[in-house]
Amino acid sequence: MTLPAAAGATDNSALLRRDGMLAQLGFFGLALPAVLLVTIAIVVPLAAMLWISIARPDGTVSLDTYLKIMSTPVYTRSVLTTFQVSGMTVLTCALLGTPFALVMASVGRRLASILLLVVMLPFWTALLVRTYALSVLLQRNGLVNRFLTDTGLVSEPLPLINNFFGTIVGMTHVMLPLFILPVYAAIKQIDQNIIRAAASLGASKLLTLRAVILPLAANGIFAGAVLVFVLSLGFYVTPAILGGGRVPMISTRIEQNVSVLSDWPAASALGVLLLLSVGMVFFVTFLLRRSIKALGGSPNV
Amino acid sequence: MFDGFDVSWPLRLAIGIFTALVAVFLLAPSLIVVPMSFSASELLQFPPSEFSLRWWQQYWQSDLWMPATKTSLLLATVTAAGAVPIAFAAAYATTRSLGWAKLPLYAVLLMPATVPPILVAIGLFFVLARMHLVGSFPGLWLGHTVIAIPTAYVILSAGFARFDFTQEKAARSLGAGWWRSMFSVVIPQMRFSLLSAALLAFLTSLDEVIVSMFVGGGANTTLTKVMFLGLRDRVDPQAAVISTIWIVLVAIVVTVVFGRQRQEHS
Repeated sequence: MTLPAAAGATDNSALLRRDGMLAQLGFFGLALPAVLLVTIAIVVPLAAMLWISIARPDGTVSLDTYLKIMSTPVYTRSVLTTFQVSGMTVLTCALLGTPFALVMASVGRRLASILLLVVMLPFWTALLVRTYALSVLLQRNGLVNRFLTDTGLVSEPLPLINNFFGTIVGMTHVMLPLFILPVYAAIKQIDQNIIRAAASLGASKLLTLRAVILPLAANGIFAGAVLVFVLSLGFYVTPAILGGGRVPMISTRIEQNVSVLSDWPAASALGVLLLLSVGMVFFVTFLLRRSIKALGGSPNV
Repeated sequence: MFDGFDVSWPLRLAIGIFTALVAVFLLAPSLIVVPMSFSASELLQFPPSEFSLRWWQQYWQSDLWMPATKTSLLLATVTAAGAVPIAFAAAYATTRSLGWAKLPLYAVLLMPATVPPILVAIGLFFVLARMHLVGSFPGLWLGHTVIAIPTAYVILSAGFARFDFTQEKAARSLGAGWWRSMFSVVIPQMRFSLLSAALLAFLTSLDEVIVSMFVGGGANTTLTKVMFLGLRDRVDPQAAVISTIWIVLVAIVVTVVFGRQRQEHS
C-alpha cells in the first residue's frame, strides 16, 4: 500500500516512465475485447465477402461478377433506385427538418424540451412498430385516405403504400430525428450577438435567416444530410415493407441473393459496391470540407 | 434565442401549423397502435369501431408470439450485459489516452454503426454457418452485442468526458489499488452513464431486425423476425399488441434517460 515515491527516493523518473508504459499497455488491453468482437463479427466477414466477390472456383482472381452485375438491368436498376430513394429522403428531411430545428431553437425552454421529446420518442421507438403503424395509416382504407375522400380533396383513395411514395414517407419518418438533432445542435451554437448585429444593421428577417443563420447552421445541415444519405443507402426494412416489392434497393437484392438464390458471389459483389458507395460519400464529404477550407470559406462548413 | 427576430402574426401562425404538422407526423405512428391493439375487429382499422381485449388474450396464449417475446427479452438483457462492460473498458481506455491509436480505435468501434446492417447480417451469417452457429443463441448474442457497442461506447465516452479523473488519481494516491478505485470511485460516479448505456443497448437489441432475420431461427426466433415476416405477408392486428408494449417500454426508457440528462444540464 505504500507508494514508491514516498520512500524518499530522489530519482523515480525511470519508474514513472515504466509505469506510464505499463498503463498504456493496460489501456490497449482494455480496448481489446471491443476490437476483437468487431473484428470477428464485421472485419473478417467483410474481408471474406471481398474475396468471394473476386475469386473464381479455380482460385484465380477476376472481376467477372462485377461485370455481370453492371450488365444486368435488375442490378443496375436497384443501384439507381437506392440512390433515388436516398437522395429523396435527404431532400424531404431537409425541407421538414431544417424549419423544425429552427423553431426548436427559437422557442422557450419549456416548449423546446417538449419538441425535443417529440423527436426522441420516435427515434427510440422500434423501427418495425413505426413501419407497421405507417402501413396502417397509409393503406387504401386507412385514416389518411379516409380523410382525403371525406373532405372531398380526392374522389378515389390514393395509392400511398406499396410504392415509391410510401417508401419515402417511411424513410423520412425514420431519418427525420437523425437529421433534426445535428441541425438543432448547430443552430443552438450560433452566437446571438451576430443575429442582433444583423438586426441592428437593418437586415430584414428573411435576409438574416438567409445570410446569417443558415450559413452558420450549414455545418449541422451538411452533417445531417450526409448521415441520412449514408444510412439510407444501406436501408432494408422500410423499403421492403412500405415499398411492397416495387422499390428494389441494393440491400433487397443482396438479401434475395443470399436467402433465395444462394448466389454468394453476386451478393458479395453487391455488398462491396454498397460499401464502396458509403465510403465514397464519406470521402467526398471529407474532400469538400477540405477544399472549402482551402478556398478560405467558413471553417465550420 | 433569436431575440430581435419577432415575426408578424400570419407568419407566426404558419410556422406554428407547420411545426405542429411535423410533430404529428413524428408522433402519430407511435400513438395509433395503442387504441388499435384494443380493437375488436379482424381488420386493421383506425380508429377501431369496437373495443375488446381479444388480441391481448390471443397474444398471451400464442405459441408464436410468447416464445419470441421471451427470446427477445433474454437476448436484449444479455446483449446489454455484454456490450456495456466491453464498451466501458474501451471508453475508459480511449479517454485516458492511447496516443496515435485513438483515432483508428474510434473508427473500429463505430464500424458496426457505419457498415450497412444488411452487410453485417450476411457477413455474420456466412461466418456463423461455417461454425454451425446459425440459429443459435450465441450467434445472435455476438451480432447484437457488436451492433450495440457503438451506442454504448458513445454514451460512455460522453460520460467519461465529464468525469474528473483527478478523483481517480486522488483515490490511487491515497493507497487504493486500481480495482478498488475503479469500483468505489469511477463506477459509482459513472452510474448514470452506465444505466443509460445499458437501457439503450437493451433497446438496440430489442429493435434489431436484419441480423435476427438471418442468424436467428427455430427456438431462437426473435420478436422482430416474427413481426417482420408477418408484416411482409399480411398486416396482423396481433402486431398492435406487441407495438403497444414496446412503446410503453420506450417511453419509460426515454423519460428516464433524457429526463435525467436534462436535470443534470440545468
